[in-house]
Amino acid sequence: MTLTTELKEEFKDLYDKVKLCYQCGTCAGGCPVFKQYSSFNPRRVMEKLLAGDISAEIFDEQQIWYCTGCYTCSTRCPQGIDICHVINDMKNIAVKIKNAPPGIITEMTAILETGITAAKSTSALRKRDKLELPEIPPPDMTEIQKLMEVTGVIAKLNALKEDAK
Amino acid sequence: MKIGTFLCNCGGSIRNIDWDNLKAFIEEKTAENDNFCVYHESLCSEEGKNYLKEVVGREQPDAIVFGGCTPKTAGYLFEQELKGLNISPYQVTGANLREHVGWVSSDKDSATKKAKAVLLGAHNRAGYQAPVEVQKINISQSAVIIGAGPAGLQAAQDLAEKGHEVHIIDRQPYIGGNAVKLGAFFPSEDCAACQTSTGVRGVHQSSVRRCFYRSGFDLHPKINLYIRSEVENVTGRLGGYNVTIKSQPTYVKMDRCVNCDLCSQACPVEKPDEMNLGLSTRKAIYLPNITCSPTKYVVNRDECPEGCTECVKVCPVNAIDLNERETTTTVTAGGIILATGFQEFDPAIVEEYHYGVPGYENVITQSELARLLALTGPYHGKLQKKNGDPVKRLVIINCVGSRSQNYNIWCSNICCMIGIKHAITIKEKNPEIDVYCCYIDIRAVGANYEEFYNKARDLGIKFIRGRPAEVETDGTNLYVQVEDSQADTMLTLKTDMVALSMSMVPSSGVQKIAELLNVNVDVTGYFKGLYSKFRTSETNQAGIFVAGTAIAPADIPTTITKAAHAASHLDLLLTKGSVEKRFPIAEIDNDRCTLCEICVGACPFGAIDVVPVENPGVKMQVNPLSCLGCGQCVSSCPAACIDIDYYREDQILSQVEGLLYDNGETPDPIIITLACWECAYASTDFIGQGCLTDPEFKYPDNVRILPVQCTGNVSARLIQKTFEKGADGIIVLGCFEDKCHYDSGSKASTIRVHLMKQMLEYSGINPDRLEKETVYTESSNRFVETARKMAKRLEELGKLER
Amino acid sequence: MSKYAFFVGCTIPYRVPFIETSLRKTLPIFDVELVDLPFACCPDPGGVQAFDSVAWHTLGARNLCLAEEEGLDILTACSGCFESLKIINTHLKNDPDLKSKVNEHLKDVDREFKGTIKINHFAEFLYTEIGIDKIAQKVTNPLSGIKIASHNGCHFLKPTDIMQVDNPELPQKLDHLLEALGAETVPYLNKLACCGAGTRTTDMDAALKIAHEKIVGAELANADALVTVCPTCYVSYDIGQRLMTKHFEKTTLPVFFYAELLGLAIGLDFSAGFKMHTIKVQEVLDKLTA
Ligand SMILES: Cc1cc2nc3c(=O)[nH]c(=O)nc-3n(C[C@H](O)[C@H](O)[C@H](O)COP(=O)(O)OP(=O)(O)OC[C@H]3O[C@@H](n4cnc5c(N)ncnc54)[C@H](O)[C@@H]3O)c2cc1C
Ligand code: SF4
Ligand code: SF4
Ligand code: SF4
Ligand code: SF4
Repeated sequence: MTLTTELKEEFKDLYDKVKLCYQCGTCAGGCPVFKQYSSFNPRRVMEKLLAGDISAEIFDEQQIWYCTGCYTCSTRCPQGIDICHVINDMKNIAVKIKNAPPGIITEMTAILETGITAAKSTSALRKRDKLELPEIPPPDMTEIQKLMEVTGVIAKLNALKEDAK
Repeated sequence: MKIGTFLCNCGGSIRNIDWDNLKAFIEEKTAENDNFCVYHESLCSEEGKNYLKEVVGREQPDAIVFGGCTPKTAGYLFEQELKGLNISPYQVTGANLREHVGWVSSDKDSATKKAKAVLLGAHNRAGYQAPVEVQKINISQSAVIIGAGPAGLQAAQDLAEKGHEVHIIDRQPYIGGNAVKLGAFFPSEDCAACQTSTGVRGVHQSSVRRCFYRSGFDLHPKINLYIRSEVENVTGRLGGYNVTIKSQPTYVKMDRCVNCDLCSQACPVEKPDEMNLGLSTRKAIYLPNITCSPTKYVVNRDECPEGCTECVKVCPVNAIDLNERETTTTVTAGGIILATGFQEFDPAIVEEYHYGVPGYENVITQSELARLLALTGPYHGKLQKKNGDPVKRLVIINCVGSRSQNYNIWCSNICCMIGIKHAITIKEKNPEIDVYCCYIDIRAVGANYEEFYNKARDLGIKFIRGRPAEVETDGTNLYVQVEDSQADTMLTLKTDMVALSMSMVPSSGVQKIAELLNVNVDVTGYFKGLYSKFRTSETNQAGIFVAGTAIAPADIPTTITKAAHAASHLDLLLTKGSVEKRFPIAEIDNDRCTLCEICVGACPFGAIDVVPVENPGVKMQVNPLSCLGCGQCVSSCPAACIDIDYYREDQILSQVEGLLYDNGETPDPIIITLACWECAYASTDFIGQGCLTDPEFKYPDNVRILPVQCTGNVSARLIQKTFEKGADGIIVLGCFEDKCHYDSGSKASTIRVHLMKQMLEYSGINPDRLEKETVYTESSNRFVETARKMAKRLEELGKLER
Repeated sequence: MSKYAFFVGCTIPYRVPFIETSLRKTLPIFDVELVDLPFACCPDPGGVQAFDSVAWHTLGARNLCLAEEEGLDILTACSGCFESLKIINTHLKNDPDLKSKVNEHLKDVDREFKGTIKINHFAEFLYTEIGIDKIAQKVTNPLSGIKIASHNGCHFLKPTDIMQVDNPELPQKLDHLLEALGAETVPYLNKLACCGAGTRTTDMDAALKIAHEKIVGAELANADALVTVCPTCYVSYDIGQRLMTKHFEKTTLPVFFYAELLGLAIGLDFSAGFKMHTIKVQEVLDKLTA
């Protein structure tokens, strides 16, 4: 996988955000994922960015999608690097190069169709009845869809779906 | 005024100039007042020097212009040769016809044209030069040292041995600073509470070193020790500082107390002993530490119950006086040494290690671990947990609060070694204790340090490369979460104790001293040395020095070296007995001063005092000893009432006028470069030299250079007037902002030039006609590039329309 | 009565509606009126933000606009929603470039982010706006005799510079809130650990292993129950424990949402909801009445 010039620029921005990293491992040492699943190591992700590794291998392995987004690493990094945020930026790039896990496609599709992520299953509605909970006013779907269109979400989502076929 | 011009061809090396033409020109231009001009092939030859002396002796000029090599070298020749000839070196003005003209110009015609302007400029300026008065200041023969840690002690001893009276002040009731508490020290692997022997105490010959309490420090006839004391106020200047010392009483007479301990036994009060992290107790009357000096008891009076006199009753030598009062002493000192040391960074700030949180009592700092390991410590050297259980495993965490954008950016230099020392101490005594050391990088950079690190590995201490993310507890054990980054694995180290290698930060109170003495501190909060490469122990205040860890974290060998460095500098000053100030300094025209005090803040050396006078209440007064003549006050003063003789505005402008001379011959725009006399001017000389072998160094002949003391001296008015006189472009050439010879001059000038550019724009002058550039010799090509660029730009912009 | 726009989110109403009951019943007792607005997903700080940061800000800003237009501050009980809304609100207030970019998009749906409201998490709200004392005063059935392991979760506290709720390395407010109900809180290993929900969409197994750590820590400390302030954390531990049996020995640590215990302590009856928990809670309830 090769990156376009635009994405290389974004990559450069990421390098600037992590250039003070001295590979101390504080991020990894507190990362809930790394503790259980040693193939995902935020320090190694930083290392690849530092090395200017823009071969997109980082994206191919889909490792970054393991990050839970808990900000534990960002809170503790002695060099003040917002690792969690950097990884999120990387995920944004991964989506652009169509490298997102199926779960994310499902979630985005759900929002596009219903405005929310959790399905209004019959069992859920039955429970609500039993608990005598009021109906939640539904969101205006034309608005949601319009926003997802103008922000380019729909186009990206279609590209991903196309790719998955 | 009779001005003599001496032209010299440097042994024929300045071939580019038509000397006959030049001589005829200056003779014609300056024909009045018996002025004269002579030419010599090589004035610095023996024959040339004799010729020089002969002519000066015969003609008795009031001022001299020297046209030849750079004044940087010619200046010294004249200073030497003119001794006794009734003319001061300040009356010699250089015209740099070699480095600034002959060697950089492309052809004879243009070189001669430029030479005329340069020579005329110097001649104009010479007409303004007068001898500078030499001021002599006496230096009081004593020193004040603040802080009696290893650094202060070493400096005090060195100065006392040289015969100077020393007043040394410490806020603790004992000497030795941090070292008193720290047990054993590397690299010698023996006691921390140890110092160079003064040879004063005892009948035995002075050996290499002795314990603080045996060293005889407090008995030295030249040393006056003030414990439990702090500096209250300082007035005066280099040569005669008046230091007011406020001392809290110890309530025990040093000369009587025999350390019998009866008082302590009688005392009803029990308090946690701060020397031992509160792990043991002491009485309200106590000996701070058995290895301390003076080995005398002290009372914490605020801890005594009302009316209690138990100790007084039992003292067999009547040494206790509970009514002693605070005393204030004022001493005079020729100079001051700041040896206020360091302290550990507050470990609670690095929250993820939970220091100080209930349940985490066994997370401690290296200083605390040192106390646990010390024989004089609360457990007599046995490593145990707070609840008394033995420690089976210890994890050391390095770089806590150091090397971090969140806390302190600096490396504390020695904590790696402190951790290793403690690990070795533990392992050697108790091989069964498991010791881990978690680190980012091991910095073992002193003599024998790497060997020490090897020894630790040899002993089986485990080094994990990773900075722990968190210390947790389950109520009984501690758990250290760390990535072993060499193995890409996550470790959870279950342990009994965690020792944090805390960052070393300046002692509390440094800021107060800095303000009191007008001494600079740098971004780290430590005192700032005058210059980072070699004037490390001097400060921005003449006569105030800094020693030991008050500059930066360091081990004992470095601390002692720094202290000796500071002492030897102060000794130089004291031994001389007086200093001569022979260069020009700032002078304030008090009649025009509006009392805005801007200059006071602009002077990086705190040389301008606001002194009380009857009318109008205060006046600004320049202290001749502190003033270095950089002129930063000059350019700051909104009333333009400060000037520095030799670099006065009229003097500089007269030279500018000459440099702009073109006789209608040069249609080219002319660029005036105001170069600071330090690295900047030296760089222009270097460029001249460089041109001999590398034509790449050449810059256009319409760039003309004159010296200022510092670019901080270049005021907005001077820039404006230089344009008014006819300059088409101006380059302000200084040292790099952080390498300014006068601390902040170049930086101030950069800001000023930036503002000036905006003002030029308002007044319709293209701001590209003004540029600030910074250089040192090794980067002098920066000037060449800027000069070429400006010349090119002015080719397009043309001459400045007035 | 103070009025708040109730941001109920996606997880609470359709996965753990009994949590919604606990909120709708307890908050009015402290003079809080909840107003439902046609909000959409916050949107998810994990998924949507990862997909496209600008879209995340834009969709979130639309939610903020709805509340702004009503002149109401937002109150949410989901830490994920709290994180999204508070970060987006803060970013847009502080970053004019981002704000104009987002407002450019919002124009297409006739809305404009103005930055006039505040985002509250109910637990933080109870602590600072209602106060421990007031809560304690209302307690009629103190929760004495049980040991509770409190779980703050990540998004309630982090990113710290924006959330500014509590010290992320030593959070104490939730413990104080629990102690106000008469419960005993216990220190335990992995108290600061994440619930792993963010990894669920990528690798369910890894997510379960992460969640399991917490259960181990709480059990080691002999806790009777785990308490959360986020429905997603709740799901990770309650339903999660059943799924964990695939990898680990079965555990049955009851999990509560804070508002449920609050209700219990002030004498409300949540028995219908308690039956909907995956891990049975009866033992804890028995202990309380014993
Ligand atoms: C845990 C630990 C272990 C160490 N181990 C070693 C080792 O093994 N080997 C080694 O070489 N080095 C070691 N060091 C470093 C060593 O302690 C320092 O190099 C040394 O103490 C520095 O001496 P100093 O005089 O500069 O400062 P300090 O020892 O800090 O002394 C400063 C003195 O100034 C006084 N003071 C401060 N401010 C004021 C004020 N405003 N007014 C009056 N008095 C004031 C203080 O009371 C103190 O007495 C260790 C340091 C630590 C923390
Ligand atoms: S904690 Fe920060 S400095 Fe350390 S490895 Fe991670 S990103 Fe790099
Ligand atoms: S934000 Fe991601 S990388 Fe950082 S600690 Fe959490 S899961 Fe690990
Ligand atoms: S000396 Fe070692 S422990 Fe101390 S700050 Fe430097 S690298 Fe870290
Ligand atoms: S800056 Fe000038 S006017 Fe102001 S106080 Fe100093 S000398 Fe006086």
